[in-house]
Amino acid sequence: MSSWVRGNIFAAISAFGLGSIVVLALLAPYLGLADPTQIDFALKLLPPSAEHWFGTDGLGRDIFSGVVHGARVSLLVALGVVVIAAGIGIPIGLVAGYAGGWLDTIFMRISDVFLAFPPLLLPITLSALLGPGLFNALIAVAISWFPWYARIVRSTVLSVKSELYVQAARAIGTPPLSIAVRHVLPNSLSPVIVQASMDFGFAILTTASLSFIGMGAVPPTVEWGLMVASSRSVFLEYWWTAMFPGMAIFLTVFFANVLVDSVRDSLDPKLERKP
Amino acid sequence: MSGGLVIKQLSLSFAHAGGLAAAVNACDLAVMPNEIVGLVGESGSGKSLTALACLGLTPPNCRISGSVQIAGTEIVGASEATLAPIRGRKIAMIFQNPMTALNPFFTIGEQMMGVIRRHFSVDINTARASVSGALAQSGLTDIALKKYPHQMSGGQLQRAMIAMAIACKPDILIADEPSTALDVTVQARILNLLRQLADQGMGILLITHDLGVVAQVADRVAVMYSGRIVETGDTDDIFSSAAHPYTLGLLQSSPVMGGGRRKMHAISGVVPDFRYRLSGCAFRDRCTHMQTICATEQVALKSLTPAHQVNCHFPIAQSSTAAKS
Amino acid sequence: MIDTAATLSVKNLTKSFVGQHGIVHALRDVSFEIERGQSLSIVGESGCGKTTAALCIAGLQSLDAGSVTLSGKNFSAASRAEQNQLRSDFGMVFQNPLSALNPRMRIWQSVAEPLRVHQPTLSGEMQHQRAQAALEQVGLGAQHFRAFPGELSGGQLQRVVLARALILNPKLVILDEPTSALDVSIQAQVLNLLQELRDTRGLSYLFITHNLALVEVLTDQVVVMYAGRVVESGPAALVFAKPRHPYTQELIRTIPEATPKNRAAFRAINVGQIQAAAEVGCAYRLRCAHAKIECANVVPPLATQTHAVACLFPLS
Repeated sequence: MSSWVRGNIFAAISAFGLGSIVVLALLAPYLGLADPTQIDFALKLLPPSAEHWFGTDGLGRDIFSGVVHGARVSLLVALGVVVIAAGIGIPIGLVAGYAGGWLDTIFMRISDVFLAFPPLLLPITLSALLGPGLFNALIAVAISWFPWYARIVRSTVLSVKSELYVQAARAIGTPPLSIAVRHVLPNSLSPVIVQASMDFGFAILTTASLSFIGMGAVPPTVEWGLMVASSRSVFLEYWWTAMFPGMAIFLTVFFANVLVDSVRDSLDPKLERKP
Repeated sequence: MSGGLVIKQLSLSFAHAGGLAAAVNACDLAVMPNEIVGLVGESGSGKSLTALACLGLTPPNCRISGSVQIAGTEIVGASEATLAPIRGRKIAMIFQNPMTALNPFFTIGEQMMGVIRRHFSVDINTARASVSGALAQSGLTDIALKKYPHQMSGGQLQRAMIAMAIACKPDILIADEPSTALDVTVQARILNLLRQLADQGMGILLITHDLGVVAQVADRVAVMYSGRIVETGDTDDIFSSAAHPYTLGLLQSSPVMGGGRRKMHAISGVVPDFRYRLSGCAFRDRCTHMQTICATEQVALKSLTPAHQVNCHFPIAQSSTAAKS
Repeated sequence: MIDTAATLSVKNLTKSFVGQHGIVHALRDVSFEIERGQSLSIVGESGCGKTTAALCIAGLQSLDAGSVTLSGKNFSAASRAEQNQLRSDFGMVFQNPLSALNPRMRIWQSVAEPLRVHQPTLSGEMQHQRAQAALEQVGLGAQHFRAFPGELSGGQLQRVVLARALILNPKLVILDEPTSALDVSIQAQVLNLLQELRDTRGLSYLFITHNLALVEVLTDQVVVMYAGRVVESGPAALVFAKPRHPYTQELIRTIPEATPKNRAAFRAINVGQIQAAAEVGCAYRLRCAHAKIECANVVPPLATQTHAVACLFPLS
């Protein structure tokens, strides 16, 4: 009982935190903030003050404005990664799991190849192939991750397909495609949604990492990873240059991860049923 | 009071949105050596929870009041240290699905030896002898010792469970739907096996939803409905002169052979959820004899004969029951 | 020709599986017929092949050999697409109603599913109306139409499954242990409903059950199966009153009836283990009290009479 309440307080705080970040990101252009790309060497490396809440960076850009505008980019990219990865992975997993046979073998061996790479190496390689730029980074990460979704969906589909209600649908004469889409898919999505919420935070981290090593966002795009990267040479003396964008990454990922737990609970079909 | 199981005013409740809900309410029941007591009820009647309470195995969020004594030792509120030597040694339990109650990674023999050596400080040969004895008593041979649970049929597994339960010669055996998952042909043998154990001195609490099972092997019957024992008596009395409308309804809706193409007697309504219990008598909304007082007053247990008690304002008169059945 | 054809005719069904311990012959040469308006039960222990028979008849499992004919139309020889069309000719009810319904579909949607499949031109509005009518017919009120399966009790759910099975007005309904997951007091309600629907709509039931006492409630004919074969068949009243196969007799004797009347006989059943089915000769002979040497030599054929038995030395 007490752990349930505690879990929900964390979830509430995280929901509020993540919600605030999303709202700030949406409203960023209307908050009357300084232009985050405005270079002004007269203002370079100023410490946090009433004027510049998070200080300024080596090029005199306002870091608070950068963090807020960067949220737009990071959240959008994370969303894009998850949507594309799930969008490719779910149909593949559904077909592989439901049809079985050689289709299953082909799809799963392909996904094995993808999964054999170390987690960050494949996005780096793909980014290098596609060239720098945020959109290419997004595609690179999404392509590296879709096999996870295919795998998860496939394994859930395999168990859902033997459920009695699927057999009942076959007994009615429901065509296979309709069974897959109406009966199997909706009941196979819970673990995907959990995985997607988990990946949301991880996608922010990964794109930030790519940007940090120069494979992701390129200036003048304002992005958290890029902000941390550009402070590399100065952050030992001017801590705020890396601290605030870094905190933004940390908090967003943290809130997103805490929320995953409650998402998982709310999708548990057992909780829907009357005891 | 020597070797038996004595339950007095046992109540088990759970907290839920509207406060405390009693899943078991003021239950009185006793099982003495040499007898099989059938505890009959539908899903959610509280019969399985009562069984768990006898082993001190109620879920942590369950509040218990009343008393459960096994051979004079109080179970309610007892520490794990008190319970450990009682479980298995004085009271043992078998379940509906033996497959899930056995560890798939160990052979039947290994699991049985473990139980014996936990309770008795005996050498391996003595332990092996009692295991063999228990297996033989359950109709299995020593071949079963070397088998893993998945290598046995449902009937064999239930026999192995029984062997494991009786290996330490407990005074009381609780059998929770032991034959429900089995074929009738196997069920008959398992039930007769339980009967044999009772005849040899064990007290058995046989939990079931099937009045037919009770009719064949039980000495006494307690019928539970929505957490309360609504009627209790000797098996023959219950079947010849059921006094509670629910007992009678159950009896009449139990299918019998040779009835031809007939309409079944059905109890209308649904099996209640203990969290939303009616005021007064919980059965009243499904009862054909319902009167105003049933909605307002909870009945006290009435004795029809010293052995036959019923929990109803308007118990069915003995003669009319006999005529109906 | 078509009009007089049996509602269901099953000929020489044969099906085996490759199991852990070699080949399992689930069905061996199983034949029976359900005449128009008649109903038939298949009884036997678990593993006797009764559920496999139901699945094969419904086309949910492929056949090794044999044929299934529905109202004169050869179902088992049809292509997959044709089979799906023919599925509107029968409904199916399963043992566990909760798992037979898609947990993410509303009750009325599940009931309307056969309409969606077989009458795709029907408007959504009409589907909804017909689903409601079907639900009302099985005694469910408007408050349940939009519920999800998890919100209903077992008895209510089985009514939903039944409504789905009946919405296309089939002549045949396959009932696979429809009441064994229900409480006793609810089982009687569902059985009465099944009776009523059978009588008012002239339905034929193929009733799969392990409970012999339910056979006569729903059907007039009975087929007793053991180890994949039909060992006795005929009018239920006749078979139960005068069982001719020792196995049928054993099944009848071991039913625990809710009366202490035959207690002595019940308690006389020995407590020993049951022998497995024999591979050669009569499968039942190792369990049989009347087995003779000849029983090991041949598989007893099923006689072709109203009350048929597959035993060399039938009980008289």
